[in-house]
Amino acid sequence: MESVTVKDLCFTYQEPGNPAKVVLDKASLLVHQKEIMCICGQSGMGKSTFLRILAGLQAPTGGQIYFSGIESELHEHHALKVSLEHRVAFVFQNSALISNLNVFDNVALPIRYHQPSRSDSEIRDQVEALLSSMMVQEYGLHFPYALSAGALRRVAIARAMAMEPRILLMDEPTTGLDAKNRRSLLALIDNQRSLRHATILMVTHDLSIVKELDARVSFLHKGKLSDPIRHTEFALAQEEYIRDMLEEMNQEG
Amino acid sequence: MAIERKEFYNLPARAVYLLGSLWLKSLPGQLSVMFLKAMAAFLTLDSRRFRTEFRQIILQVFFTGIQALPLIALVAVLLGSLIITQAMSMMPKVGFGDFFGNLMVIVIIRELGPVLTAFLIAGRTGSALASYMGNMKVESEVDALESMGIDPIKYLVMPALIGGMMAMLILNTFFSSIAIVVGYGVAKTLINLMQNVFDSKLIWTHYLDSILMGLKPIDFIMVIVKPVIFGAIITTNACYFGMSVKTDVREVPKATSKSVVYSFIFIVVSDLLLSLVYIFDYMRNLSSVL
Repeated sequence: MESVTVKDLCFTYQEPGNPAKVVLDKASLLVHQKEIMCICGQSGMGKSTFLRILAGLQAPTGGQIYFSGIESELHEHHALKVSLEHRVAFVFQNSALISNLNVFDNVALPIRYHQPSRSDSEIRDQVEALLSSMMVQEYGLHFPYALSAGALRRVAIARAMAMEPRILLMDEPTTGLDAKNRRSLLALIDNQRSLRHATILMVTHDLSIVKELDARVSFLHKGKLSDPIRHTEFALAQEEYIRDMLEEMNQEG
Repeated sequence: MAIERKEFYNLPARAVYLLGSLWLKSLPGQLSVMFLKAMAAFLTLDSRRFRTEFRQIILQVFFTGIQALPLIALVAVLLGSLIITQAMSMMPKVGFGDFFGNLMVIVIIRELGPVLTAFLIAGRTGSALASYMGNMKVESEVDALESMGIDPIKYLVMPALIGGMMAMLILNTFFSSIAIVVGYGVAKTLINLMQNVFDSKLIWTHYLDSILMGLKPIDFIMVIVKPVIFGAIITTNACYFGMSVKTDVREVPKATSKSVVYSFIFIVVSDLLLSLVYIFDYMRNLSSVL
Protein backbone atom coordinates (compact mmCIF):
# COMPACT_ATOMS: atom_id res chain seq x y z
CA MET A 1 0.00 0.00 0.00
CA GLU A 2 1.22 3.52 -0.81
CA SER A 3 2.29 5.62 2.11
CA VAL A 4 3.07 8.76 0.13
CA THR A 5 1.68 9.60 -3.30
CA VAL A 6 2.85 12.69 -5.12
CA LYS A 7 1.02 13.60 -8.33
CA ASP A 8 2.19 16.24 -10.82
CA LEU A 9 3.77 18.45 -8.18
CA CYS A 10 4.82 21.84 -9.54
CA PHE A 11 6.76 24.61 -7.89
CA THR A 12 8.02 27.81 -9.45
CA TYR A 13 10.32 30.08 -7.50
CA GLN A 14 9.91 33.77 -8.17
CA GLU A 15 12.18 36.32 -6.58
CA PRO A 16 11.34 39.99 -7.18
CA GLY A 17 13.39 41.36 -10.07
CA ASN A 18 14.53 37.92 -11.24
CA PRO A 19 12.98 35.60 -13.82
CA ALA A 20 10.83 32.75 -12.48
CA LYS A 21 12.67 29.47 -11.92
CA VAL A 22 10.84 26.17 -12.40
CA VAL A 23 11.96 23.94 -9.51
CA LEU A 24 9.40 21.14 -9.80
CA ASP A 25 7.65 20.37 -13.06
CA LYS A 26 4.91 17.74 -12.65
CA ALA A 27 7.03 15.61 -10.34
CA SER A 28 5.31 12.36 -9.34
CA LEU A 29 6.31 9.66 -6.86
CA LEU A 30 4.89 6.62 -5.08
CA VAL A 31 6.41 5.55 -1.77
CA HIS A 32 5.30 2.25 -0.23
CA GLN A 33 4.66 1.75 3.45
CA LYS A 34 7.68 1.04 5.69
CA GLU A 35 10.17 1.51 2.86
CA ILE A 36 13.10 3.89 2.60
CA MET A 37 12.95 6.06 -0.49
CA CYS A 38 15.85 8.32 -1.40
CA ILE A 39 15.57 11.40 -3.57
CA CYS A 40 18.89 12.05 -5.23
CA GLY A 41 20.01 14.88 -7.40
CA GLN A 42 22.65 17.48 -7.83
CA SER A 43 22.79 20.56 -5.62
CA GLY A 44 20.22 23.23 -6.40
CA MET A 45 17.82 20.83 -8.14
CA GLY A 46 15.09 21.39 -5.55
CA LYS A 47 15.39 18.26 -3.40
CA SER A 48 14.97 20.13 -0.13
CA THR A 49 12.13 22.21 -1.61
CA PHE A 50 10.37 18.96 -2.56
CA LEU A 51 10.70 17.71 1.01
CA ARG A 52 9.56 21.04 2.51
CA ILE A 53 6.47 20.97 0.29
CA LEU A 54 5.68 17.43 1.48
CA ALA A 55 6.06 18.61 5.09
CA GLY A 56 3.70 21.53 4.45
CA LEU A 57 6.37 24.16 5.07
CA GLN A 58 6.03 25.52 1.53
CA ALA A 59 3.08 25.61 -0.84
CA PRO A 60 3.46 24.16 -4.34
CA THR A 61 2.08 25.92 -7.40
CA GLY A 62 0.22 22.77 -8.46
CA GLY A 63 -0.28 19.05 -7.95
CA GLN A 64 -1.56 16.75 -5.25
CA ILE A 65 -0.04 14.97 -2.26
CA TYR A 66 -1.67 11.99 -0.54
CA PHE A 67 -0.56 10.48 2.77
CA SER A 68 -1.91 6.92 3.20
CA GLY A 69 -4.51 7.74 0.54
CA ILE A 70 -5.74 10.93 2.22
CA GLU A 71 -5.19 14.12 0.27
CA SER A 72 -3.17 16.79 2.01
CA GLU A 73 -4.18 20.42 1.63
CA LEU A 74 -1.47 22.46 0.05
CA HIS A 75 -1.28 25.82 1.79
CA GLU A 76 1.86 27.59 2.85
CA HIS A 77 2.78 26.80 6.46
CA HIS A 78 0.41 23.89 6.53
CA ALA A 79 2.96 21.88 8.46
CA LEU A 80 0.90 21.93 11.68
CA LYS A 81 -1.90 20.00 9.99
CA VAL A 82 0.42 17.72 8.02
CA SER A 83 2.33 16.70 11.14
CA LEU A 84 -0.74 16.19 13.30
CA GLU A 85 -3.23 14.65 10.86
CA HIS A 86 -0.85 12.58 8.76
CA ARG A 87 1.80 12.01 11.46
CA VAL A 88 4.64 13.28 9.32
CA ALA A 89 7.91 14.23 11.06
CA PHE A 90 10.78 16.18 9.57
CA VAL A 91 14.50 15.96 10.27
CA PHE A 92 16.16 19.16 9.09
CA GLN A 93 19.56 19.29 7.45
CA ASN A 94 20.84 21.60 10.21
CA SER A 95 18.98 19.58 12.89
CA ALA A 96 17.04 22.72 13.95
CA LEU A 97 16.97 21.84 17.65
CA ILE A 98 15.43 24.55 19.83
CA SER A 99 18.51 26.44 20.99
CA ASN A 100 17.31 27.43 24.46
CA LEU A 101 16.24 23.91 25.41
CA ASN A 102 18.64 21.15 26.39
CA VAL A 103 18.67 17.82 24.55
CA PHE A 104 16.24 16.18 26.96
CA ASP A 105 13.72 19.03 26.72
CA ASN A 106 14.06 19.15 22.93
CA VAL A 107 13.07 15.49 22.65
CA ALA A 108 10.43 15.84 25.36
CA LEU A 109 8.84 18.90 23.72
CA PRO A 110 6.50 17.13 21.24
CA ILE A 111 5.51 14.59 23.91
CA ARG A 112 4.73 17.28 26.51
CA TYR A 113 2.85 19.29 23.94
CA HIS A 114 0.77 16.57 22.30
CA GLN A 115 0.33 14.21 25.24
CA PRO A 116 -0.15 16.66 28.13
CA SER A 117 -1.84 14.10 30.35
CA ARG A 118 1.32 12.01 30.60
CA SER A 119 3.23 12.16 33.88
CA ASP A 120 6.78 13.48 34.18
CA SER A 121 8.14 10.00 34.93
CA GLU A 122 6.46 8.52 31.83
CA ILE A 123 7.90 11.32 29.67
CA ARG A 124 11.34 10.85 31.23
CA ASP A 125 11.28 7.12 30.53
CA GLN A 126 10.24 7.64 26.91
CA VAL A 127 12.81 10.36 26.26
CA GLU A 128 15.60 8.32 27.84
CA ALA A 129 14.62 5.30 25.71
CA LEU A 130 14.67 7.45 22.57
CA LEU A 131 18.03 8.98 23.43
CA SER A 132 19.45 5.51 24.19
CA SER A 133 18.14 4.13 20.91
CA MET A 134 20.02 6.91 19.09
CA MET A 135 23.07 6.46 21.36
CA VAL A 136 23.02 10.01 22.73
CA GLN A 137 21.79 9.27 26.25
CA GLU A 138 24.82 10.96 27.83
CA TYR A 139 23.94 14.31 26.23
CA GLY A 140 20.56 14.78 27.93
CA LEU A 141 21.56 17.90 29.85
CA HIS A 142 23.69 19.40 27.09
CA PHE A 143 22.47 22.32 25.01
CA PRO A 144 22.53 22.03 21.20
CA TYR A 145 25.47 24.43 20.80
CA ALA A 146 27.68 22.03 22.75
CA LEU A 147 27.03 19.01 20.49
CA SER A 148 28.92 17.72 17.47
CA ALA A 149 27.20 17.50 14.06
CA GLY A 150 26.73 13.75 14.42
CA ALA A 151 25.19 14.04 17.89
CA LEU A 152 22.90 16.85 16.69
CA ARG A 153 21.56 14.65 13.87
CA ARG A 154 20.91 11.79 16.26
CA VAL A 155 19.07 14.04 18.70
CA ALA A 156 17.05 15.50 15.80
CA ILE A 157 16.05 11.97 14.74
CA ALA A 158 15.18 11.09 18.36
CA ARG A 159 12.99 14.22 18.54
CA ALA A 160 11.26 13.28 15.28
CA MET A 161 10.71 9.74 16.58
CA ALA A 162 9.15 11.14 19.75
CA MET A 163 6.20 12.10 17.55
CA GLU A 164 5.77 8.42 16.66
CA PRO A 165 5.53 9.32 12.98
CA ARG A 166 4.11 7.16 10.22
CA ILE A 167 6.24 9.05 7.72
CA LEU A 168 9.69 10.46 8.42
CA LEU A 169 11.14 13.06 6.06
CA MET A 170 14.91 13.52 6.29
CA ASP A 171 16.89 16.26 4.60
CA GLU A 172 20.51 15.24 3.92
CA PRO A 173 20.95 13.33 7.19
CA THR A 174 24.58 12.33 6.53
CA THR A 175 25.96 15.61 5.18
CA GLY A 176 29.07 16.77 7.00
CA LEU A 177 29.61 13.53 8.91
CA ASP A 178 32.80 11.48 8.83
CA ALA A 179 32.67 7.89 7.52
CA LYS A 180 32.33 6.30 10.97
CA ASN A 181 29.56 8.64 12.13
CA ARG A 182 27.81 8.28 8.78
CA ARG A 183 27.79 4.46 8.94
CA SER A 184 26.59 4.47 12.51
CA LEU A 185 23.83 6.99 11.75
CA LEU A 186 22.60 4.97 8.76
CA ALA A 187 22.52 1.82 10.89
CA LEU A 188 20.46 3.68 13.50
CA ILE A 189 18.06 4.99 10.84
CA ASP A 190 17.57 1.46 9.49
CA ASN A 191 17.07 0.21 13.02
CA GLN A 192 14.44 2.90 13.70
CA ARG A 193 12.63 2.00 10.48
CA SER A 194 12.41 -1.69 11.45
CA LEU A 195 11.56 -0.92 15.11
CA ARG A 196 8.93 1.75 14.53
CA HIS A 197 7.68 0.74 11.07
CA ALA A 198 7.90 4.27 9.70
CA THR A 199 8.14 5.09 6.02
CA ILE A 200 11.30 7.11 5.42
CA LEU A 201 11.68 9.60 2.59
CA MET A 202 15.22 10.89 2.49
CA VAL A 203 16.81 13.59 0.38
CA THR A 204 20.48 13.08 -0.30
CA HIS A 205 23.19 13.50 -2.89
CA ASP A 206 25.03 10.50 -1.44
CA LEU A 207 24.05 7.55 -3.65
CA SER A 208 25.88 4.97 -1.56
CA ILE A 209 23.09 5.34 1.04
CA VAL A 210 20.76 3.59 -1.41
CA LYS A 211 22.90 0.46 -1.33
CA GLU A 212 23.62 0.59 2.40
CA LEU A 213 19.95 0.93 3.36
CA ASP A 214 18.64 -1.26 0.54
CA ALA A 215 16.41 1.65 -0.43
CA ARG A 216 14.82 2.70 -3.69
CA VAL A 217 15.96 5.93 -5.25
CA SER A 218 14.30 8.47 -7.50
CA PHE A 219 16.42 11.08 -9.26
CA LEU A 220 15.32 14.70 -9.38
CA HIS A 221 16.46 16.39 -12.54
CA LYS A 222 15.11 19.52 -14.20
CA GLY A 223 12.01 19.44 -12.03
CA LYS A 224 11.06 15.84 -12.82
CA LEU A 225 11.41 12.73 -10.65
CA SER A 226 12.58 9.56 -12.36
CA ASP A 227 10.96 6.17 -11.76
CA PRO A 228 12.41 4.74 -8.51
CA ILE A 229 15.08 2.04 -8.87
CA ARG A 230 17.14 -0.14 -6.53
CA HIS A 231 20.93 -0.15 -6.46
CA THR A 232 20.88 -3.48 -8.29
CA GLU A 233 19.24 -1.67 -11.23
CA PHE A 234 21.80 1.16 -11.45
CA ALA A 235 23.54 -0.44 -14.44
CA LEU A 236 20.26 -0.53 -16.35
CA ALA A 237 19.60 3.21 -16.00
CA GLN A 238 19.16 4.82 -19.41
CA GLU A 239 19.06 8.51 -18.48
CA GLU A 240 22.29 10.38 -19.01
CA TYR A 241 22.09 12.42 -15.81
CA ILE A 242 21.68 9.24 -13.75
CA ARG A 243 24.68 7.70 -15.46
CA ASP A 244 26.67 10.87 -14.75
CA MET A 245 25.75 10.76 -11.09
CA LEU A 246 26.64 7.08 -10.83
CA GLU A 247 29.95 7.78 -12.51
CA GLU A 248 30.65 10.59 -10.05
CA MET A 249 29.83 8.22 -7.19
CA ASN A 250 32.20 5.56 -8.55
CA GLN A 251 34.97 8.14 -8.95
CA GLU A 252 34.48 9.25 -5.35
CA GLY A 253 34.81 5.58 -4.34
CA MET B 1 -27.51 46.66 -16.71
CA ALA B 2 -28.07 44.10 -14.00
CA ILE B 3 -24.34 43.78 -13.47
CA GLU B 4 -23.91 47.57 -13.24
CA ARG B 5 -26.66 47.81 -10.64
CA LYS B 6 -25.14 45.00 -8.62
CA GLU B 7 -21.76 46.71 -8.68
CA PHE B 8 -23.37 49.99 -7.64
CA TYR B 9 -25.12 48.40 -4.66
CA ASN B 10 -21.92 46.61 -3.72
CA LEU B 11 -19.90 49.79 -3.72
CA PRO B 12 -19.93 50.38 0.07
CA ALA B 13 -19.08 46.73 0.65
CA ARG B 14 -16.28 46.97 -1.87
CA ALA B 15 -14.97 50.14 -0.23
CA VAL B 16 -14.98 48.43 3.15
CA TYR B 17 -13.27 45.40 1.61
CA LEU B 18 -10.64 47.61 -0.04
CA LEU B 19 -9.98 49.60 3.13
CA GLY B 20 -9.85 46.38 5.14
CA SER B 21 -7.37 44.86 2.71
CA LEU B 22 -5.21 47.97 2.83
CA TRP B 23 -5.33 47.97 6.64
CA LEU B 24 -4.35 44.30 6.79
CA LYS B 25 -1.41 44.93 4.47
CA SER B 26 -0.19 47.92 6.48
CA LEU B 27 2.23 47.52 9.39
CA PRO B 28 -0.33 48.43 12.10
CA GLY B 29 -2.75 45.96 10.47
CA GLN B 30 -0.17 43.16 10.43
CA LEU B 31 0.76 43.90 14.04
CA SER B 32 -2.91 43.87 15.03
CA VAL B 33 -3.39 40.49 13.35
CA MET B 34 -0.40 39.04 15.24
CA PHE B 35 -1.64 40.54 18.53
CA LEU B 36 -5.15 39.15 18.00
CA LYS B 37 -3.81 35.71 17.06
CA ALA B 38 -1.68 35.63 20.22
CA MET B 39 -4.59 36.80 22.39
CA ALA B 40 -6.84 34.17 20.80
CA ALA B 41 -4.16 31.57 21.57
CA PHE B 42 -4.14 32.74 25.21
CA LEU B 43 -7.92 32.72 25.54
CA THR B 44 -8.17 29.24 24.01
CA LEU B 45 -5.30 27.87 26.07
CA ASP B 46 -5.77 24.15 26.58
CA SER B 47 -5.72 23.65 30.34
CA ARG B 48 -4.00 20.26 29.89
CA ARG B 49 -1.21 22.02 28.03
CA PHE B 50 -1.08 24.79 30.60
CA ARG B 51 2.13 23.43 32.13
CA THR B 52 4.14 23.80 28.90
CA GLU B 53 2.81 27.22 27.96
CA PHE B 54 2.67 28.58 31.52
CA ARG B 55 6.37 27.72 31.83
CA GLN B 56 7.05 29.80 28.74
CA ILE B 57 5.09 32.75 30.19
CA ILE B 58 6.97 32.51 33.51
CA LEU B 59 10.31 32.40 31.66
CA GLN B 60 9.27 35.51 29.73
CA VAL B 61 8.25 37.36 32.91
CA PHE B 62 11.57 36.35 34.46
CA PHE B 63 13.55 37.58 31.44
CA THR B 64 11.55 40.76 30.80
CA GLY B 65 10.66 41.62 34.37
CA ILE B 66 12.98 40.18 36.97
CA GLN B 67 16.26 40.37 35.04
CA ALA B 68 15.53 43.99 34.05
CA LEU B 69 14.98 45.12 37.66
CA PRO B 70 18.54 46.43 38.28
CA LEU B 71 18.46 48.50 35.09
CA ILE B 72 14.99 49.86 35.87
CA ALA B 73 16.03 50.60 39.48
CA LEU B 74 19.13 52.49 38.34
CA VAL B 75 17.22 54.67 35.88
CA ALA B 76 14.43 55.25 38.41
CA VAL B 77 16.96 56.41 41.04
CA LEU B 78 18.61 58.77 38.56
CA LEU B 79 15.31 60.10 37.23
CA GLY B 80 13.77 60.59 40.69
CA SER B 81 16.89 62.49 41.82
CA LEU B 82 17.00 64.54 38.63
CA ILE B 83 13.39 65.67 38.79
CA ILE B 84 13.55 66.65 42.45
CA THR B 85 16.86 68.46 42.00
CA GLN B 86 15.52 70.39 39.04
CA ALA B 87 12.30 71.20 40.88
CA MET B 88 14.16 72.42 43.94
CA SER B 89 16.45 74.63 41.88
CA MET B 90 13.43 76.23 40.24
CA MET B 91 11.04 76.60 43.15
CA PRO B 92 12.82 77.66 46.35
CA LYS B 93 10.92 78.78 49.41
CA VAL B 94 7.47 77.64 48.33
CA GLY B 95 5.23 74.93 49.73
CA PHE B 96 7.37 71.97 48.84
CA GLY B 97 5.18 69.26 50.27
CA ASP B 98 2.16 69.92 48.06
CA PHE B 99 4.26 70.79 45.06
CA PHE B 100 6.35 67.62 45.14
CA GLY B 101 3.34 65.37 45.40
CA ASN B 102 1.70 66.84 42.32
CA LEU B 103 4.98 66.95 40.46
CA MET B 104 5.62 63.27 41.11
CA VAL B 105 2.11 62.29 40.04
CA ILE B 106 2.30 64.26 36.79
CA VAL B 107 5.88 63.52 35.84
CA ILE B 108 6.55 60.03 37.18
CA ILE B 109 3.23 58.20 37.56
CA ARG B 110 1.43 59.66 34.55
CA GLU B 111 4.14 60.15 31.97
CA LEU B 112 7.80 59.39 32.48
CA GLY B 113 7.37 56.23 34.55
CA PRO B 114 5.44 54.21 31.96
CA VAL B 115 7.12 55.76 28.89
CA LEU B 116 10.70 55.47 30.17
CA THR B 117 10.11 51.93 31.44
CA ALA B 118 8.68 51.06 28.01
CA PHE B 119 11.66 52.60 26.21
CA LEU B 120 14.08 50.67 28.41
CA ILE B 121 12.22 47.41 27.88
CA ALA B 122 11.91 48.03 24.12
CA GLY B 123 15.68 48.56 23.96
CA ARG B 124 16.62 45.70 26.23
CA THR B 125 13.97 43.00 25.93
CA GLY B 126 12.28 43.92 22.64
CA SER B 127 15.57 43.87 20.76
CA ALA B 128 16.63 40.60 22.40
CA LEU B 129 13.27 39.01 21.60
CA ALA B 130 13.34 40.16 17.96
CA SER B 131 16.86 38.85 17.41
CA TYR B 132 16.04 35.59 19.23
CA MET B 133 13.04 34.97 17.00
CA GLY B 134 14.93 36.09 13.90
CA ASN B 135 17.70 33.62 14.66
CA MET B 136 15.13 30.90 15.28
CA LYS B 137 13.72 31.59 11.81
CA VAL B 138 17.17 31.52 10.18
CA GLU B 139 18.05 28.27 11.96
CA SER B 140 14.71 26.68 10.89
CA GLU B 141 13.69 26.31 14.55
CA VAL B 142 10.30 27.90 13.83
CA ASP B 143 9.82 25.48 10.92
CA ALA B 144 10.85 22.67 13.27
CA LEU B 145 8.13 23.70 15.73
CA GLU B 146 5.54 23.68 12.95
CA SER B 147 6.75 20.31 11.71
CA MET B 148 6.25 18.98 15.25
CA GLY B 149 2.67 20.23 15.18
CA ILE B 150 3.45 23.08 17.59
CA ASP B 151 1.99 26.44 16.62
CA PRO B 152 4.74 29.10 16.93
CA ILE B 153 2.07 31.68 17.82
CA LYS B 154 1.06 29.56 20.81
CA TYR B 155 4.54 28.45 21.80
CA LEU B 156 6.57 31.61 21.14
CA VAL B 157 4.43 34.71 20.51
CA MET B 158 1.64 34.25 23.06
CA PRO B 159 3.97 33.64 26.08
CA ALA B 160 6.14 36.59 24.98
CA LEU B 161 3.08 38.83 24.72
CA ILE B 162 1.41 37.82 27.99
CA GLY B 163 4.74 37.68 29.84
CA GLY B 164 5.75 41.05 28.40
CA MET B 165 2.49 42.72 29.46
CA MET B 166 2.73 41.26 32.98
CA ALA B 167 6.39 42.25 33.29
CA MET B 168 5.69 45.81 32.13
CA LEU B 169 3.00 46.17 34.77
CA ILE B 170 5.41 44.99 37.47
CA LEU B 171 8.30 47.13 36.20
CA ASN B 172 6.22 50.27 35.87
CA THR B 173 5.03 49.97 39.47
CA PHE B 174 8.60 49.27 40.57
CA PHE B 175 9.98 52.22 38.56
CA SER B 176 7.42 54.71 39.87
CA SER B 177 7.80 53.53 43.49
CA ILE B 178 11.60 53.79 43.42
CA ALA B 179 11.54 57.21 41.71
CA ILE B 180 9.07 58.53 44.30
CA VAL B 181 11.01 57.15 47.28
CA VAL B 182 14.35 58.35 45.91
CA GLY B 183 12.82 61.72 45.05
CA TYR B 184 11.76 62.08 48.67
CA GLY B 185 15.21 61.04 49.89
CA VAL B 186 17.01 63.52 47.65
CA ALA B 187 14.63 66.35 48.53
CA LYS B 188 14.98 65.65 52.24
CA THR B 189 18.77 65.53 51.99
CA LEU B 190 18.96 68.77 50.02
CA ILE B 191 16.64 70.54 52.47
CA ASN B 192 18.73 69.36 55.42
CA LEU B 193 21.96 70.41 53.72
CA MET B 194 20.71 73.86 52.69
CA GLN B 195 18.42 74.90 55.54
CA ASN B 196 19.27 78.56 54.99
CA VAL B 197 17.89 78.41 51.41
CA PHE B 198 14.88 76.14 51.92
CA ASP B 199 12.71 77.47 54.65
CA SER B 200 10.57 74.38 54.76
CA LYS B 201 10.35 70.85 56.13
CA LEU B 202 9.50 67.72 54.18
CA ILE B 203 7.73 64.96 56.06
CA TRP B 204 7.26 61.50 54.50
CA THR B 205 3.57 61.19 55.41
CA HIS B 206 2.89 64.68 54.12
CA TYR B 207 4.74 63.89 50.89
CA LEU B 208 2.86 60.59 50.44
CA ASP B 209 -0.48 62.23 51.23
CA SER B 210 0.16 64.90 48.63
CA ILE B 211 0.90 62.24 46.03
CA LEU B 212 -2.31 60.38 46.87
CA MET B 213 -4.23 63.67 46.82
CA GLY B 214 -2.73 64.47 43.43
CA LEU B 215 -3.94 61.17 41.98
CA LYS B 216 -7.28 61.18 40.17
CA PRO B 217 -9.47 58.10 39.67
CA ILE B 218 -8.34 58.01 36.03
CA ASP B 219 -4.71 57.65 37.21
CA PHE B 220 -5.53 54.36 38.93
CA ILE B 221 -6.86 53.02 35.62
CA MET B 222 -3.98 54.44 33.56
CA VAL B 223 -1.36 53.02 35.88
CA ILE B 224 -2.54 49.59 34.71
CA VAL B 225 -3.65 50.35 31.14
CA LYS B 226 -0.54 52.19 29.96
CA PRO B 227 2.12 49.62 30.85
CA VAL B 228 -0.07 46.78 29.59
CA ILE B 229 -0.54 48.53 26.23
CA PHE B 230 3.15 49.43 26.02
CA GLY B 231 4.10 45.85 26.89
CA ALA B 232 1.80 44.59 24.13
CA ILE B 233 3.33 47.05 21.64
CA ILE B 234 6.91 46.06 22.49
CA THR B 235 6.39 42.30 22.38
CA THR B 236 4.11 42.33 19.32
CA ASN B 237 6.65 44.45 17.43
CA ALA B 238 9.53 42.22 18.49
CA CYS B 239 7.69 39.02 17.56
CA TYR B 240 6.43 40.44 14.26
CA PHE B 241 9.80 41.72 13.06
CA GLY B 242 11.61 38.64 14.38
CA MET B 243 9.17 36.32 12.63
CA SER B 244 9.39 38.31 9.40
CA VAL B 245 13.04 37.24 8.99
CA LYS B 246 13.30 34.59 6.28
CA THR B 247 16.55 32.71 5.75
CA ASP B 248 19.21 35.39 5.59
CA VAL B 249 21.08 36.02 8.84
CA ARG B 250 21.71 39.64 7.72
CA GLU B 251 17.99 40.29 8.16
CA VAL B 252 18.26 39.73 11.93
CA PRO B 253 19.96 43.02 12.92
CA LYS B 254 17.62 44.91 10.57
CA ALA B 255 14.60 43.26 12.18
CA THR B 256 15.96 44.03 15.66
CA SER B 257 16.53 47.67 14.82
CA LYS B 258 13.07 48.02 13.20
CA SER B 259 11.46 46.41 16.23
CA VAL B 260 13.01 48.97 18.62
CA VAL B 261 12.38 52.00 16.38
CA TYR B 262 8.74 51.11 15.67
CA SER B 263 8.19 50.30 19.36
CA PHE B 264 9.39 53.81 20.28
CA ILE B 265 7.10 55.39 17.66
CA PHE B 266 4.03 53.35 18.62
CA ILE B 267 4.67 53.92 22.34
CA VAL B 268 4.77 57.70 21.87
CA VAL B 269 1.71 57.69 19.59
CA SER B 270 -0.30 55.52 21.97
CA ASP B 271 0.86 57.63 24.93
CA LEU B 272 -0.40 60.71 23.13
CA LEU B 273 -3.75 59.06 22.44
CA LEU B 274 -4.02 57.87 26.04
CA SER B 275 -3.21 61.38 27.26
CA LEU B 276 -6.35 62.59 25.52
CA VAL B 277 -8.26 60.66 28.18
CA TYR B 278 -7.00 63.22 30.73
CA ILE B 279 -8.33 66.09 28.59
CA PHE B 280 -11.72 64.38 28.27
CA ASP B 281 -11.69 63.74 32.02
CA TYR B 282 -10.83 67.42 32.69
CA MET B 283 -13.59 68.62 30.31
CA ARG B 284 -16.11 66.31 31.94
CA ASN B 285 -15.19 67.60 35.41
CA LEU B 286 -15.31 71.19 34.17
CA SER B 287 -18.76 70.77 32.62
CA SER B 288 -20.08 69.16 35.82
CA VAL B 289 -18.77 72.15 37.86
CA LEU B 290 -20.30 74.65 35.44
